[in-house]
Amino acid sequence: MVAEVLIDLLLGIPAWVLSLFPPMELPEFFAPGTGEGTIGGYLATVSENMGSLSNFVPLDLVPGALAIVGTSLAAAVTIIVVRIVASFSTLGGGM
Amino acid sequence: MMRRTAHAVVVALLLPALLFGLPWVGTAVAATSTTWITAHQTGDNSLGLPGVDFDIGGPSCEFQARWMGIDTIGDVSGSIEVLGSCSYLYSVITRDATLHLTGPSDCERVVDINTTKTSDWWSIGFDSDIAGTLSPALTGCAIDAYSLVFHQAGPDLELTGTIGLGDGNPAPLPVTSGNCGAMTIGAVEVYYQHASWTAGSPATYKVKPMLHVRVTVPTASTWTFSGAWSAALPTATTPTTYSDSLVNPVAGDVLAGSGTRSVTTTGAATIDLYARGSGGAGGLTGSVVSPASVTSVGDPDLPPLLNGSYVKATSGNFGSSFLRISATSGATGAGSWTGNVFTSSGSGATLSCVIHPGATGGSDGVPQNITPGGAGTIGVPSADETPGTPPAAETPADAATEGDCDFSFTDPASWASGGICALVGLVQRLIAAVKGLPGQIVAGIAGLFVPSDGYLSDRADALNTEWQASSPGAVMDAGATTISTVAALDIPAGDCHGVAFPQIPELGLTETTYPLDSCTGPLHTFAAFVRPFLTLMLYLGAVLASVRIVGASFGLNLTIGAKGGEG
Repeated sequence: MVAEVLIDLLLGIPAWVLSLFPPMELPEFFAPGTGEGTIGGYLATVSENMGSLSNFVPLDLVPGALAIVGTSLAAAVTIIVVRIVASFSTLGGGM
Repeated sequence: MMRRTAHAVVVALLLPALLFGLPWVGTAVAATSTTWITAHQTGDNSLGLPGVDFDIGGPSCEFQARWMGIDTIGDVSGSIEVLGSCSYLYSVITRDATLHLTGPSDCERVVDINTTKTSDWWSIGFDSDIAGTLSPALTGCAIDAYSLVFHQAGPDLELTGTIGLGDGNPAPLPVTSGNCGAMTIGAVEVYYQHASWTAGSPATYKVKPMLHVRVTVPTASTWTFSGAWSAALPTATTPTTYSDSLVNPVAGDVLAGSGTRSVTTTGAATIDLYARGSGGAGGLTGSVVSPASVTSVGDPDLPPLLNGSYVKATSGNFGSSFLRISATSGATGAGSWTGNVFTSSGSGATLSCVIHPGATGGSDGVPQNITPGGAGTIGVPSADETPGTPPAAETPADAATEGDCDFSFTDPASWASGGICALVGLVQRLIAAVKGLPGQIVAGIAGLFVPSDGYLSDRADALNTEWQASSPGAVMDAGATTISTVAALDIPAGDCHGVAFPQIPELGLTETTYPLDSCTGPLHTFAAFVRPFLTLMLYLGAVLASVRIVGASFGLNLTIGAKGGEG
């Protein structure tokens, strides 16, 4: 019972925070894949139209470069979250 | 202050994701099906402009299909599940895509896929509801004779591919007995019959909410039920027969959850399925009532029944609970009760059925049945037959024991024998109570600090559902999807001719020309220099950006060319 109350308290905080956000429906632009009207579709069209320039511009390498940057972003967010969580622990220290 | 608040919000949002992992995957339901059958397609690459033929390579598609849930008895149709993926030219491939289900004679049907193609694997399943007349088409026709023809015909592209569903592939497993179509599934109701025994004497009980659905099956088979229920249940009413200080259940007492349950029947049967998420929410925690009073005593010639009490038979998300009527020692026969023992209302859950043909064993038993709502009868279970029977302290058999002593204050002759008998009985009960004390203390402490089975997972599932339904969850999901889409882009590699100008005789262009042709000549030299340089710049920029991003997460502002103190 005590553990259940603690679990409720711990998980109740994020649930309460989530409940504060108004409901939102993302536009079709953010739909997954490369369907028409989506961000993936626009990027696919651009890449198709510029494919004939690939002898000059290494377009086929762009996704790989973007993947590197995206991975770095994810790693940075993880590091920031870990630092925030760790900052809550004084590890025996005082104010 | 603002920064600290922002940190708190970030932690509150991401901590559960780190604790319980993302993404959360829902439960999957297995079904009778064939193996996947694969077909490949290639198409013309013409873009359809008059006199123009851009040689940009032909798109290719791969499709897989399989039969799902075929019932050879005939009254329930199956469905077909299709997966597809095409290389690129999404805007072409989405046009006029149709799926032809061709079979003998009049069994041919055409189904409009009506979906947007993406470069990822996509899936579509359709059944008789979508196909309209697909169900009668399957009856009486050999399914091995069917084939799927995937056809796309736009003004600029035409693709055709055939998947022979029965061509050298194993036919679906036959269903030898039972089918979902003959199953009767009652309305999903909310009950407050689930109870758990708590330590103490006399025993006390907590009433928790449960979902209940009654299913009747016509034949012997092994049935697997997959249930998923939401927390969006309406406000329930108070159980009518309780006069105790029962806390009124409120909406949300039943938390969202899911689970499966297999039951083997030996013939036509009625199955009561019970499901609960967790009873801890909604203010029910700590609401303790005494054993509910059951006033009817059944056959008046039998010793009177004392108290009816709710007994938890099994634990877990699916538990079978039943009403146990405690009787005086030695009582036999059946008890009965009147009035609405349980209250019921609400909806919001779904139940699906999947047949496992030919399955044997693995029976989980048929839960004890209780007629919802009104009066009913039930056999009095013995202690040996009752799983989860509470300890002896719960069974009030003391009255009969004292009565056997034949002790009376007004009869001095009974003081010696009856008095000693009563005294011995009292001492025995005292010893029994003291002996049971340590165990009850330990049980009480464990009850305080050990959460119930599945409690944490239930709460995590509920939080998962809330996260996925929330705006931040949708935004993060869209961001991850966009990144994965960009990373998976299939950018076509052009040849050294570059952009082609078509033949336009009116303008003096009698043949296709390539102004950026880098196969030979000066542009070849230029391209040989520019492409490696841009490749180097691209990767160098990506690496520098990554270093800067990661460095920023440690509070470092890494730049190139900045003066000391700025970087």
